[in-house]
Amino acid sequence: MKRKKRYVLECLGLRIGLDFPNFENKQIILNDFYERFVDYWSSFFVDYKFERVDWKLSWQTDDLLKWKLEGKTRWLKWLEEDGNIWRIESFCSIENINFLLGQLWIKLLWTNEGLVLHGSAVEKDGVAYVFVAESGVGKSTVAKILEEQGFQHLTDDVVFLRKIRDKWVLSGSPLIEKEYKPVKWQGDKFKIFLLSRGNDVTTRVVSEKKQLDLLLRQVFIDYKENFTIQRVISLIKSVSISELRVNIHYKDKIGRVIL
Amino acid sequence: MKLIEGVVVAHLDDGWVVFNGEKEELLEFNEVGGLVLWLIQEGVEEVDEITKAVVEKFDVDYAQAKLDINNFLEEMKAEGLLQ
Repeated sequence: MKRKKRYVLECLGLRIGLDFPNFENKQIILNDFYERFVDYWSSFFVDYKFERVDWKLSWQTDDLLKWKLEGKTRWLKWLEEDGNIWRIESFCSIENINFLLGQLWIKLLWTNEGLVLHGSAVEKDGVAYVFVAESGVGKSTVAKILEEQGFQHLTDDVVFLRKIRDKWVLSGSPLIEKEYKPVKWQGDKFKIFLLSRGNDVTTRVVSEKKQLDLLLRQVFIDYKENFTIQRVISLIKSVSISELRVNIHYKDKIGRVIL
Repeated sequence: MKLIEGVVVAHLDDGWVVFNGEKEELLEFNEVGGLVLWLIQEGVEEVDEITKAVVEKFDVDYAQAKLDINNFLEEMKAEGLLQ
């Protein structure tokens, strides 16, 4: 019988304990895991365990997953609460595993003073710059341009935030990324830019009402949970948020404008 | 009387907003409407108490204020913000 190692994923002080074999590096492991998954297909389906480590959830149903997985329920039968064990059945691809872990992170953050933004992020001199926008506006492109200008790339598509001792701290996502391996980074100095396309590269202050309106479209939240909305409002009250209009033909200006 | 679950009232730098989680919509309110809903969010349930707070802040006639507030609350119930 193959011995399983116990691994722990950690982000912003929150951990997910896993029982995956060879869980050394997120992206590689998952690929590695996928190969092993094929090899050990039958044993995987019998009973694979996610161990709950340090959070308390009241997740009686899988509404969130059903909502997210509309039309894809064939591959994920269900995620159920069973004492301290999450049981997962019927996976068929690495993307699905990645997705499910991402959902667990989001839920974990929600219940621990956290938020998840749809955005990219870079860092320079200890300050993180977050670019929030709907898909297709250029979050990844702006992050790539800034990387070429000496900024450290943090995250491509999803930004994790958590309030720790009354301060917001930011990290790249441990799992949910499109192209990059996520970079582990924590810090309390960051600016949020609500990204849109423009004729030039400009920033401007926007009202809190507009900030809320735009942010709510790009935050992964459970609209029926008041505390998640309150947390967005708390973010608006405590972090610098402004609008950034970008024309990528003037990419040299982007770094100067945001600093 | 209390807000429906998923309804959040907040005062931002440019006025009152109410987020209705059920409908996923953001509504704007004037100073009086926002204050009334915020008081309810803070646990004030009696119309008399709400009216007193409004009269104190805006220096308006008590009877008229109470009438207006009652009408407003009915509207808010119809809107699905209050129960």
